[in-house]
Amino acid sequence: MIKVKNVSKSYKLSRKQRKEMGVEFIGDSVLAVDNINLSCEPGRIFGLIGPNGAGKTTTLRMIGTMLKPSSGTISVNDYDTVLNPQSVKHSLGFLSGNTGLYDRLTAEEMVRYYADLHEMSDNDFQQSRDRLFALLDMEEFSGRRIGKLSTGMMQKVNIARTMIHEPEVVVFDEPTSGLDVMASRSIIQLIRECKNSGKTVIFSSHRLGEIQSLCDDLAIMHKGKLFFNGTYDEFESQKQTDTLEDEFIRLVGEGSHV
Amino acid sequence: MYRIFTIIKKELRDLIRDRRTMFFMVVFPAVIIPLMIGGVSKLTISIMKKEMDKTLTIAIVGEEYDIPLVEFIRNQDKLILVTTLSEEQIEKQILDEIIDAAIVIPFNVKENLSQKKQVQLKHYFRSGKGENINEKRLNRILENYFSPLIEARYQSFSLNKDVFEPYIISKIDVASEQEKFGKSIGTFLPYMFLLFCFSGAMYPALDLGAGEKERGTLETILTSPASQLEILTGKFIVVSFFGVMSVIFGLGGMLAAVNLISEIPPEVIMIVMTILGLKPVFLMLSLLFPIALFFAAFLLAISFYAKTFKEAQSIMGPLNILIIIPIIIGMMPGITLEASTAWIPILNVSLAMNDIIAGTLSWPLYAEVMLSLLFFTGCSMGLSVKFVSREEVIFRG
Repeated sequence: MIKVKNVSKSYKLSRKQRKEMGVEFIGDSVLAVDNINLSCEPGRIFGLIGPNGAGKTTTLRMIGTMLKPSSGTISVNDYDTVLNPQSVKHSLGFLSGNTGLYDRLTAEEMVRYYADLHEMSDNDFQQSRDRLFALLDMEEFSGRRIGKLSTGMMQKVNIARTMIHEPEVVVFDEPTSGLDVMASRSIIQLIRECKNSGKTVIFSSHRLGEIQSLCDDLAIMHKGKLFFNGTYDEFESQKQTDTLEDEFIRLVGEGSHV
Repeated sequence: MYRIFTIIKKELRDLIRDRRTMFFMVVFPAVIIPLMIGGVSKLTISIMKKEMDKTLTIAIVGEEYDIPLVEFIRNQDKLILVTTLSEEQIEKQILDEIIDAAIVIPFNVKENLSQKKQVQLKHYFRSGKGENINEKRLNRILENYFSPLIEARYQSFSLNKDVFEPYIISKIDVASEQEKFGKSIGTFLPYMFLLFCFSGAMYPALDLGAGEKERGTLETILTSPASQLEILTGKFIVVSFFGVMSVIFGLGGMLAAVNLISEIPPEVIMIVMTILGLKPVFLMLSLLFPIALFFAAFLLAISFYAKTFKEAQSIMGPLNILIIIPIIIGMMPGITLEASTAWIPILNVSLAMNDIIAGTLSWPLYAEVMLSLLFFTGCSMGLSVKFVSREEVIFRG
């Protein structure tokens, strides 16, 4: 379970950055996330959408303990991300479009490395590894260096790396960005399987079709604020346009004037 | 500890598979040192031999005034005499390299010799560019001619030359060959070892900090249970290791050079084998280990600060000058390891290594150097920890 309570995140700007903001800009910091509240339950997929710069990645990085909130609290499985980050990380898997792999390691070595960082026993690792590699059809290239793999193969390695320690909570930050249809499909399948196995999943994407087909709960974010936060069914009943895309644009457009 | 060890294992495996890192750690020091020692020795011997074997062309002006002298010179090996030039022509002929030197004999040789007066010969030569060897060859020939004449003159007055030299000074240099070598050619070796240590550490530091940020692998590892301090410690140990290994390969290169290159003079071989003795190697490594830690901490701090690999390279490039300046200061005459210089990082290691090579190391000063290095390493590590802990630095860019 993920609980985000009254969380804000501000970044102090350098002199150069303040100049770049223009003469109208007042102050010395930017509020990337502005007092948001959300909750993700086990066995459900929570979708987080918003335009570029909305604060999605910042929010997900705070959940993943890479960033600390300026105010408010975030807990993952009842562990505070600031007070108990190690416990959070043990139960968390994080996959993003930005997370890279080591070109000179083999697929097997990459996954083993993360298993060792999670202090998995050899038995547990072997079982988890065999299951994941079979599921993702990775045996064929497990001994090949990552630098020699295709984009789709690398994404499978990334998925295996994320799931090897069987996390209870999984965060996906635009995981399908830059991927073709086939590679994206394996991610979508994984997300569904995570839900079916009772994991807590939070997932951000620009591809509204994926959000539409996967999410049980939805939040729309713009300029650091949430403009909608509820179940997908509630969203469907409240929307004033025909499609998710139109409604998204309507909400974000209104939000721009706030 | 287990996670730090896991990170070390992975970073070592990753870097050993990187050709550029292995080049700077292994090939560069192991090949450059033998090339330097062997190449310089071979070149020096070759030039000396060439100059000694060269047939000198000497012009004599006024040969008719001192025929015995001219005949003596003519009978020497590898000499051609030219007697057709005037004194006005000599300078241009030497500068144009048509002749190597010239001797101008005055008209009053016979008269001065018979009256036991001095004869003023003029020896024209050109200094620099190896011509000093030519000058010395001709001087030796002339001295061989003059010595019996001088002896005969003393005897003609029934005198002993000691009458005119009430004092003579016997110079006894108590410095061992090792010490003499240590104070001259030995000053280059600390420079080389420090340079190897720095360059051996630099590329891994670039790759493990800025390189990881650029590739997105730093964000990945930050999602693992490894803390920022554990991640930094693992990388720090690996970068230091590569710095020290570069020096070890440099020492290995020296050993290979003296065993494989036959043209190295025996006295150089003797000195090098003294340097490669157990005690000097141990003492040098004991200094290079903390300096490797200092370089690792400092370079990692810069690498984590930079947004990209290229930015980190552009910051680290000028640092080579910061490394070279204290080493060059250490090579200046009069700069020695003492209480004040023992506290200046890099300079202190350079001077201490000179003393180790020369066999004159002072233990209290050695302890001071170690304390200084540990202090500055601690400061650099503190800076690295500060950078790694700052979100705006890790996610900068």
